[in-house]
Amino acid sequence: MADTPGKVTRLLRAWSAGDPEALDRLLPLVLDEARDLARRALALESRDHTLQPTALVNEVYLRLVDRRTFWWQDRSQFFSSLAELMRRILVDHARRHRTAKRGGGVPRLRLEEMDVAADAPRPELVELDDALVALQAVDPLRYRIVMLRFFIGLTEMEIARELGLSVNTVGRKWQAARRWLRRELDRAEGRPVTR
Amino acid sequence: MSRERQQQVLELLDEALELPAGDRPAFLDAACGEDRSLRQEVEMLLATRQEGGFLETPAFDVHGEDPDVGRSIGPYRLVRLLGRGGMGAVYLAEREDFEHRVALKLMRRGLDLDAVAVGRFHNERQILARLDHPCVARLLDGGTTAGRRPYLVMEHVDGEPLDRYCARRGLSLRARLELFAKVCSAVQFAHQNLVVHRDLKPGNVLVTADGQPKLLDFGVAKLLDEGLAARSVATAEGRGPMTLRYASPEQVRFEPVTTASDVYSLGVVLYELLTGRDPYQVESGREEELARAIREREPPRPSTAARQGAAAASSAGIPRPGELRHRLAGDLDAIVLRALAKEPRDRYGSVDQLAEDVRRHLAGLPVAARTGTFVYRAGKFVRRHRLPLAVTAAFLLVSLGFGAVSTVLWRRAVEERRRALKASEFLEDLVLAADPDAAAGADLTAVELLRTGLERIRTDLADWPELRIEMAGTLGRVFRQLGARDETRRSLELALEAAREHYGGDHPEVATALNNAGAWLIDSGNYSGAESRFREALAMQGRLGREISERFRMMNNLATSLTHQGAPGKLDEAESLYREVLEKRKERYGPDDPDVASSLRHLGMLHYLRGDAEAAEPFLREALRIRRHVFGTEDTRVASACDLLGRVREALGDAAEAESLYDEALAIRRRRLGEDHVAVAQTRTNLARLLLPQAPETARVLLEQALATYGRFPAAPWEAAEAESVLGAYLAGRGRYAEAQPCLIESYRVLREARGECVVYAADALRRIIELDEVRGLAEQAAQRRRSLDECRLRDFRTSKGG
Repeated sequence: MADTPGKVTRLLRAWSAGDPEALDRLLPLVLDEARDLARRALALESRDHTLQPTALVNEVYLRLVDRRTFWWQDRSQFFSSLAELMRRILVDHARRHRTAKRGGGVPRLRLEEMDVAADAPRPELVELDDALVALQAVDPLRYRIVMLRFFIGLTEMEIARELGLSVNTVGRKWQAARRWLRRELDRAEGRPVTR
Repeated sequence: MSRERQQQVLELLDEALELPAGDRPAFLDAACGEDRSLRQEVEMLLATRQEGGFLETPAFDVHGEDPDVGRSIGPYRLVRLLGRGGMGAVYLAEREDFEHRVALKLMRRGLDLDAVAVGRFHNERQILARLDHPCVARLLDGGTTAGRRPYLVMEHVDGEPLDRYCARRGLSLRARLELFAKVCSAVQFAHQNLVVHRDLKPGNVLVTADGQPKLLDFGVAKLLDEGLAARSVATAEGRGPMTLRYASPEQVRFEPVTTASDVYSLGVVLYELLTGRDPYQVESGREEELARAIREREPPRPSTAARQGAAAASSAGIPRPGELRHRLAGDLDAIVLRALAKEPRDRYGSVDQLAEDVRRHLAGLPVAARTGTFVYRAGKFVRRHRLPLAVTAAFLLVSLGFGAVSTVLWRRAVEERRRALKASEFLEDLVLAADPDAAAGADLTAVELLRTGLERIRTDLADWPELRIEMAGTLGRVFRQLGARDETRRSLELALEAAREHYGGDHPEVATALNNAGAWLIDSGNYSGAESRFREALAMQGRLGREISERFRMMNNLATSLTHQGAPGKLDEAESLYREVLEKRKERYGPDDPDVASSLRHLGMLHYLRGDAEAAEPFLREALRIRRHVFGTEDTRVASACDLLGRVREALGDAAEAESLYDEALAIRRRRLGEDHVAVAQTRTNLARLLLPQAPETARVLLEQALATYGRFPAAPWEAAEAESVLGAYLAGRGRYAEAQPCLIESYRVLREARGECVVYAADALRRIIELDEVRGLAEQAAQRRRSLDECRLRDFRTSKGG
């Protein structure tokens, strides 16, 4: 995909200008690039290695997160930023698709495998987004764990390394956070909170 | 809730999650103290545990695949990603040469094949391509990319995964079962074509908008597995081609996979459709633990799972989750557990048989998974014919039943025996309408009608020995249920006699007949006779290697016959039998099972009889708890647990709780069984004994009612003797010593002879005599009797002071 950066820039502009279709096409490209970056970051053993993002992610990052620096002091910060970026992109995408026909979209963007079979209005990313805002206010560390786990797909071991915690702590906090978020979603949907 | 508060909740949740579930309440007691709302909050969050995969699959996965959208593979162009699995990704694809949409499954990088594997892959693919069934998504094409990544091209199905389809539409149990049966028929079709699916799961069953299920990926797991076996890449990242959650024990053990594996996976699918939960409840991600559970753990019955996870049921869109466990208990439990048996040979022999049972259940017919259970057929019949049967209707049905039998028998020369058996089943269905738990006050006069039936079996069926055995056994069980003791004896003796004559030595029918005969001997108070019948049945059953649950029943029966004999050595043997059955049942069925409750009740009864009410109590409380959970509040089994626990509380001096337990038992029994039933008389006797000190006249009325019932239904004599003994105490209390004395002495004699000297019944009766002796100033006689009472060394003997 040699033409990726230029294409991404073009699509980003179109999206910012209000063309919702652009996001659909943008997404795979951005994900691809971000994944590549993240992989390379994971491959680096040194924690304090300075990582220079490519122009692509700069661009996206600047537009979406509105930050000026292009440089990440460490990998952990990069991941946090990337997770925020993913969240913005994915939530925006979900918002756009929430009225679209079910099943025709991009399956990975749904909270798949939600449960055996979650009925009723299944919590979508949009609601999750609100719950995450609440979680961030309550417990920023736990929020970071969720972001890295869910929005980037780091394993618990990787998260432990990034955040300087034990794997057990990460696992436990993640499990508690999942429950907490689940309940927030249930509340948001006005469902009787599960017992 | 404040931020601090929320943090506190989350931190407590962290800690609680670290603890085994059993330790959590104590931890929360300590951590929350008086703060009830805090505790409630944490408990609520803990209770959401079952929501399996919520957020587990990352929205974006750095370890995932490169998207291949836009690429061309063979004549296909990848349009968009439909989904990803362990083996690769599925894309919506189009043929480039003409407008045709397909699903293309592209294996992930690293699963490339070598030349040999490619050849095998092609061959297998040819076989699959021939599977042509409306409910099976066709395999259209396949091949390998230039880089030797295998791909498969399938019919594109525009549908929703089975579980989501059911959930989103809130399908009823009936609709779910119907859909499931369709899925089964597709699987059966493939099996007939020698193709095993090996990865059945809701995600592989798409349901189209018009409700047609379509199975995806038939045989693909095997195809890939074999293609890749040479290089063992499949497991390189811990992911085999199968989905662990639906994998059978033999798959988990990497043993040969057969059609029975598909039966198992369908069992898991059905389990989930019916309960909203998976059978093992292992937290997601713990694959090792899950694999072990699949190999070793017996899943709880679906009805048990439904009780524990109402939230899961409602999130799976199952309507009226509150009623779910009642609707699953019985047939559906049996069907699902049969499919989920650990050993392939214990499962349904084919997917067709599984589907057939589901259909039979839907039609209200007896299912193969539990045929032979007697109370069950009765319930079945009543549910099919909801209205209680009037006398005339019963008469008509019974005559019709026999008419049908005769016709079938006549035709039996040209038709197979199966028809005749069906007829007997039909008859059994008809007459078993009187099962009290199923029919709530059905008409009991059917006894008279059935007597003629017994005669006809004797006379008309002489030339059909097998049918005769079966019919006699059936009638015997029916008579027993109706409380017609003499007819029961005659029927069951006839069955046993005919079975011995016809089969000669060891045979399951003989063992069954022995067991039934033993049961009526218990009913009629001949406990040593029952003991020898049960020992014979058990030994025969052991030699035959028959079904284990049948064995448990026989062990229990033997233990019951021993218990009733009351001698200390017999009681000890009974206790070890009961304990063995209890442990095995717990192991097999989990702690909340009705059969476990029966075992607990037996052990409680045993301790009570020994005079050790303190030891009896925990067993009975647990038995009562389970029965209330499983059977609800309006069931004779709950009543019998209440009744016995009442006795125990009474013995421990808690008159208040004993009274409320007796009240509950009496209310249920009266509603269920009618005023004039032996079980009602038993509870009346208990209540009378309890009330005697404070309300002697009430007690008298209760005893008179009880004795009138016993008089009409010649019960085991000791039951009436208990009431008579209490009546003696009443008379003594009124100063009517002359009447009291013979009444007390005689009832004591009967109780001692029937149930043994050193069990609570006789001891209680003896104590009443001692009290009378003392009131009459016969100190020496009283002391003598007391010595013989003391010799029994009843533990914790503190029974009814006034009675």
